[in-house]
Amino acid sequence: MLYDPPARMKDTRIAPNRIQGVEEAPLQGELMLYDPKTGRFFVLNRTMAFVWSRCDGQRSVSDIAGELLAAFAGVDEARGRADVDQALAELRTLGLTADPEAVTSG
Amino acid sequence: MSVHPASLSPEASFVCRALERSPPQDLLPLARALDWRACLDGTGRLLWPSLHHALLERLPPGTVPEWAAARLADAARASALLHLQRRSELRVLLAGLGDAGIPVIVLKGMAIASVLYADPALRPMVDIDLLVPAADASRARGVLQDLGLRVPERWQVRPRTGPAAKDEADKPLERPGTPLLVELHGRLEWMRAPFAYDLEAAWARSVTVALGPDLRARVLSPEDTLLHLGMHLSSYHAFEHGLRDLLDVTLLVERHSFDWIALAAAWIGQGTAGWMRLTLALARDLLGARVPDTLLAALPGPADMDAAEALACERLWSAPLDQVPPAVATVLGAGGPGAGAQLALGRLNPARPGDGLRAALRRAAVDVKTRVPRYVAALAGGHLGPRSIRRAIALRRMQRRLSELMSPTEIASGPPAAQPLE
Repeated sequence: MLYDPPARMKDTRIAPNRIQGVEEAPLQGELMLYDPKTGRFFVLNRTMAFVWSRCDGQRSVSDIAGELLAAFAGVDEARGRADVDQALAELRTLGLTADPEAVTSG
Repeated sequence: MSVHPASLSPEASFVCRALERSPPQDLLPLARALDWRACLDGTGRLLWPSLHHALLERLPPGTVPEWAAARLADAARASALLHLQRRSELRVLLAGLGDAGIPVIVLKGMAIASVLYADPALRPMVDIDLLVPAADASRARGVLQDLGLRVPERWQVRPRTGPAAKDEADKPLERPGTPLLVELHGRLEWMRAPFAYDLEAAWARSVTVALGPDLRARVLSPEDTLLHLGMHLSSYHAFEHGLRDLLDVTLLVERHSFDWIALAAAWIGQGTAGWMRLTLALARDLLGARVPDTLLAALPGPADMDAAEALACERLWSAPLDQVPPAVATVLGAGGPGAGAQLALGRLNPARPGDGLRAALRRAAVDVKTRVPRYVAALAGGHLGPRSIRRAIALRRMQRRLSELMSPTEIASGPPAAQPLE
């Protein structure tokens, strides 16, 4: 069964934003993160890293999903969108993205 | 003399060739016949991330035994995470010192990891080393303490006298709850008689580089970095950090086009030429550093350069020093049962001159808290066996012998430089 995100996250217009001050470095396909405010480390897999890197407060969820589908050939659209939703929900739960705002322009 | 990797153990030779980026067809037969446990134990953890990176690049999948590959990969990942934590800390420290108007030069690991290595995580380090003007050292220490750094408990209880004594101002600082150590220097550690090094001129030559995203900092110039790395690993640490530090030198020589004539003249004038010659000869012979033969021929060395190179080579493969608690090697290698017993009693006796009863009791408590787990870990890891201890003691003696061989008197009595560099 595909991931079913909470209602708020279903709004594909919102533009998630990475929290500030997180140190990051890639390592063999994974992305290492360190949040100095909490002292916690995170290791993101490829999909999570892809989504994290695009959480810039400008791209909407829909934009990110579109970029994921373009970047990973052969990924089924429903699967890709579900992966993005799940990644965003996890990033939010981990405190790595700030509360997203709906994209109102552009 | 030159040390040829073929004269090393198969494990040391393999590691050197992997780091030197030998072609896979040369590495593969060595890898298949390798005692991987001896290889990893002898290499030491500080080199594992670089070794992991080199082996991933050079060897087909499945060549490295699964358990060894997992240990190397874990080390690489741990190093990556620690690097992020250190980089975050460095931002805070530089901002704090900058706000206080204190100039700072980032030294060693943090200064070169981002500049010389493909990935800064490939260059593990124990601490963040910062150089500030000697006149500002005390104020800088206050700034770091205001930022929350503290002298670790194990350092607080160091006695005021005796061989383990350390000046309050020289004790490292630590971010509580983290493994981050910060060392603040007013001078470079190896700068002592008879070396004549103009640190003010080094400040004037220092450059600003990027040490990470949005993180720019002042570092020593490439020439001063080469000297500092070389003298620190050779004269100060007697090659005890293994090949990691020699790899730093090799990568720096690869990266920059040095004016060897000017450097040779400067090193001869400073009295550092003997140690730099030894360092660069080993970097060339073991890791393929592009050091001109003419440079080595132009630098003075000790009368018995062969013996110095052989001792340095042994010390480079000295990871057991990290595993046998230093106190064990000190006591057992004291030069006789009487001296050893005296040292042991001295260590066990919590009351030392200059200390009150309270300080003595506190030190005893901290000793139990910090040393016992270390001894237990060494025992569990099989590093307290007679063989490991004998090796650790032998390496200590080699350090003393190397210092004797490289003394200014020995260098002065050595053969004159074969030819001046022109």
